[in-house]
Amino acid sequence: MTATGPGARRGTRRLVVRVLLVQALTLIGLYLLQLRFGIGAG
Amino acid sequence: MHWIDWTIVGGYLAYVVWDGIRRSSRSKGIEGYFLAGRLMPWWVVGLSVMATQMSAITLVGTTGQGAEDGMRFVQFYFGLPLAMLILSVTLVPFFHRAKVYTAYEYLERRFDARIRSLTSGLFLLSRGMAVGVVISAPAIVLSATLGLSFPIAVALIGLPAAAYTMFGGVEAVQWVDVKQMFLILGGLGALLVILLAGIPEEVGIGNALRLAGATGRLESFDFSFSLTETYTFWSGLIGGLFLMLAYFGTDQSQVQRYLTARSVQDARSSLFMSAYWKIPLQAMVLMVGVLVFVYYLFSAPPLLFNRDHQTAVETAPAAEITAEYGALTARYQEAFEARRAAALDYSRAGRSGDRSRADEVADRFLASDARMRTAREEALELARTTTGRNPRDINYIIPAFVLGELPIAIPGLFIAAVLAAAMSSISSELNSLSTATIIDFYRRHVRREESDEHYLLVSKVATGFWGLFACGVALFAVALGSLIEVVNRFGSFFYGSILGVFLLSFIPFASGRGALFGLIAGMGSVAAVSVLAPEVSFLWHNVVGAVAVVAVGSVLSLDRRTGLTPGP
Repeated sequence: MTATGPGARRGTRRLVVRVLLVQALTLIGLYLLQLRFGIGAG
Repeated sequence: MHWIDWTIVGGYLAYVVWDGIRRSSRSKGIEGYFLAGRLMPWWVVGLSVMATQMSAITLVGTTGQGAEDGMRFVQFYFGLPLAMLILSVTLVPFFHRAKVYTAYEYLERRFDARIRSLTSGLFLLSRGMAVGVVISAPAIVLSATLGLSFPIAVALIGLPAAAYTMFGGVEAVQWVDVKQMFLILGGLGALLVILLAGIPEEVGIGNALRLAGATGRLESFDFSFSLTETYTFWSGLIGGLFLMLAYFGTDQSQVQRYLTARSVQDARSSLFMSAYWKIPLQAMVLMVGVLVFVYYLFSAPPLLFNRDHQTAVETAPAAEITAEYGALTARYQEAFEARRAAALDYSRAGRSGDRSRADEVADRFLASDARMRTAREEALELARTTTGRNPRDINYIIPAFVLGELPIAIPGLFIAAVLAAAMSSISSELNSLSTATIIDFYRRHVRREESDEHYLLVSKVATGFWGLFACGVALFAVALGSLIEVVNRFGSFFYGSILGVFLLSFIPFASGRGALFGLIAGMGSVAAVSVLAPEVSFLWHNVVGAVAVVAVGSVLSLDRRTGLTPGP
């Protein structure tokens, strides 16, 4: 597997998906914190 | 501080200098000194990237911002993960395959020597000044908090970092960064645990968060679109994306970190570490501040956290100032007692499930909180007029809390963590300033054919020079604005435009002439926006600069391509 081969591209794609997933979960967590405890929370 | 705390701080300082200097024997030649032979493991590079970005300003100023203003600052970093992803498939492979020492060296290969010298010169100017602020910011706070003289605080922070960077080179910088990162995380973790454990039992974490949330401190998202607001979702995502692209993609202090990685894949992985952890880490830093606010719901906070300013108003020669401050203190104290009673009532109502009672108490809580805020704002104004200086009280909240409220050893750990955060940024910046000076100017324009030993020697001298220069700037940087924003504001003037030049390099027909005039047009546009529309947030300056460079640079390159104007 080379740094530019299909295997490396697949690996990079996997990392990209993981990064986006972790960020999405972090932002959802912060948003839920705001909804649950923020101004006007029920 | 107790002698045990001083011992922890002294032990930390001695260890980092020893640890850095003992690596000096491994820096053979300038490739070893500046790039560690391009053999660093990805996780060391990744932690060094994070440590470089996390300065003492983050630890002291951002936590204070969390206490005063809440979580909304986290939006500033929303563009960062996206920036890391874009860089990992664009500039990172280019830099690595080009085997360059500096980002600007790549620009000479793509355009011409003028662009390289101009961008590298702008980096030296902006980063050289900014590193002074990175030293002075914590030095101001530590000198006021620990009772040290300001020059001694500057020397305590700047000189050890300069020493191990000068002798040890980039390998020392990065390995010390790793240890410093763990110390910073340890300090933050300890604070978080202490603060959570310190929430009164009858209140509980849920009610504590509800009380903080009622004051707006848990609002992490503001979806309004405004060019004048820095902390909104869209400013963070779009403006922040451009700032982070510029910082991680074109600022030598960051580029040099991942140029030391073994391979392109390792360099990418090191950037992904920040992409994963930066927002959660920043949220944790701000949450520490929010929990300090919660702590002061049940324990009386000082009216002014900056002790120097408090002493100045309490002992002012004019009797009306001391009388006014005394009256403000009484008002603040009365409002605090009312707020504490309301907070406890609110918790009791919350536990018994009495919603209408909780709503009624919440109104009382917010009213007394507003009274405290008004008294504090008036006290800050009084301090400002009495001393003639901005109190910047926000930066003293966490140091005052740690030194005044926490048990022995924790203050020592915290101060060591602040020093670690400062030094990890300073060392990377000094190392990159020296690299740009030697590689882009000395070896390129002054002495082109010297031995490796000669370049290694002048590189060490250059690092020492930049260390002393930064300490000198720090001594005069006191008059600059808010500690958190000043570094970013300074960079924003050039950052976007330099990013624009790198973006232009991907356009196949872009010429050196287009890049040069595009860069000038970009900086001119940012200057015009700063002067004509000062209300526009500095985050958008990066967008303006980058877009102007790409637009003007492309048009001028196109002009040359069609042969209408002779090129250089």
